[in-house]
Amino acid sequence: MDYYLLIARSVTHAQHMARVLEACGIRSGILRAPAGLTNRGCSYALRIRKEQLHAARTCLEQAELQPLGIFTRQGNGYREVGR
Amino acid sequence: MIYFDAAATTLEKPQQVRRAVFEAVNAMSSPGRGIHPAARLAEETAFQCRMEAAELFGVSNPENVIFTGNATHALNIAIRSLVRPGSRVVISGYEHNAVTRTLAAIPDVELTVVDTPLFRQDDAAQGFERAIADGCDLVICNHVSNVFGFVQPLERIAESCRRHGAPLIVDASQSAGVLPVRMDVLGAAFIAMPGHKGLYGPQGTGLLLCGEAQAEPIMFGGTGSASRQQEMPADLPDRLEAGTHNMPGIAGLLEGLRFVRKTGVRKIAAHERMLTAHASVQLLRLPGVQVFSTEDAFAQSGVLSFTVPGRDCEELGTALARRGIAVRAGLHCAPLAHRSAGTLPGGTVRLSFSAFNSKRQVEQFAAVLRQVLRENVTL
Repeated sequence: MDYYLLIARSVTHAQHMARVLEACGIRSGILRAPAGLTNRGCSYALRIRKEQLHAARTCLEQAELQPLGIFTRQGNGYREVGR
Repeated sequence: MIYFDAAATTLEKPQQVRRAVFEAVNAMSSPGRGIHPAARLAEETAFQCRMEAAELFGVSNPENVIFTGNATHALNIAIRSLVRPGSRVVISGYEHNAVTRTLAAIPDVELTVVDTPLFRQDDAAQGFERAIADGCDLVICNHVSNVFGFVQPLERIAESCRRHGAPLIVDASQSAGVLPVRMDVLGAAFIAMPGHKGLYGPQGTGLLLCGEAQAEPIMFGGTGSASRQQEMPADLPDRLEAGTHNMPGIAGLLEGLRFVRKTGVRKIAAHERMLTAHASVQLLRLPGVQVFSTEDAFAQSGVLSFTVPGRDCEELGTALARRGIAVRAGLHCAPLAHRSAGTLPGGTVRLSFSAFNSKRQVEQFAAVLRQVLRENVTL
C-alpha cells in the first residue's frame, strides 16, 4: 500500500499531530522514523495513506502544526515530497 | 491519624492514583525511547496527562505542558529562563523559598517586594500595579500563600503585567486543583505547580505550563529526539525534559488530574473554604489562640495558620502529632511570608485541607488542641 511519512520533531509532536488528524477523520500510525530520513537522529513519524495527504496537510495547517518533512517510498528508499 | 498537611503533600490519594502507579511500575518503560508496547504505553500515558493538564489549565498546545519533579524544579526552569544578572523583579511578600532562593542565586537581582497586609486583595493589586508601572523585567507571584492561604488577586496582577509588558511567572503550588488557574486567562509566561498537592498525584511530580516566553533548560541530556545534535532540542517539551521520565508518577498524576476534573475545582474550593471557616470558628473559641483568617471567603483558600502567644509552634505541632493530628509548624520554607505577616521568628502552626477532610475531623482536632493547651504539654 502506498503511504506517506510525516516526520515529527518529537514523540509528543507526533502524538499531537495524530490526535489532530484523528479529529479530522484521518487515521495515522506512529512509528520510529527510518534512520536515513533526517540528519537529526532519533525521530518519530506518522504514516498516512497516500490519498489522504492533501486533507492531512490542510487539517494540520488549521491546527498550526507542521511536520519536519513529508516522505514517500521510492524503490528501496524514500523521497522527500515537501513539508 | 487526622491529616491536615495537604499544603505540603496530599496524603490520601484517590484509589485510581495508587492503582495507576502500581500498574505503571509493572508495564511502562520510557516515552520516546522505542516502538515496543512498554514504550508505547508510556508515551500514550504521558500524552494523555499533558492533554488532561492542558484542558484543566487552559493551555492551547499540550506540547507546552512540561513534566518536572516538583513545583520547585518548575520554578527554577521558569526563573532561570527569564532572570539575568541585574534583572529587576517584582514579587509578592508571600513567596516561598522556591522563588526567593532561586532569585538569590542569580547575582545582582534587584527585588521589589509587594508586602501588603494579609487578605487585602485590593491593596495587593494596587501594590503590584505601582511596582510594575515603576519598571521591571519580570513579575513572580504565588496564587495562594502556602502559610496563610492568602489568595492573591492574580487576574488583576496579570492585567497589570499585560498593560506594562512585563512577563509573569505564577507559582500555583497551593492553587492548582483547588482554585481555577487558566493560562488562557492569565497569559502568563510560565505557570509552575506540583503534582503531589491539589492534583493528588504522587510525590516526585510537577508541571510547568509554558506560555510565549523562550524556555531555557537547566538540565541537559537525552530526550529520545534529535540525538545527533549536541544542543538541547529547540522544541517543547523535549527542550526541558532531559532524562528518563517518572512514568509511575505521571501515570498517577494523570489519574489525579482526572479526579480533580471529575470532582470539579469549584466544588473542591468550596469544600476547603468551608473547612477553613469551620476551623477558624473552632480555634477562636479556644482561649488565647490567634487565628489568621478573614471573613472575605474569596481572599483565603484551604490553608489556615494560628499561633498561641507564649507557646512554641514546633512544640504545639509535636504535641498534636503525638495525638494523631498531622499539621505543619514553623516557617514553612517561607520566611518572607512570615516577615510580611509579622510572625517571625517563631512562625505559625498551619492547617491545610484536602478534598478528603471533613468537618468532624476539624472538630476532633479542636478538641485535641483544647486538651493540649489545658495540660500545657511541652516536649
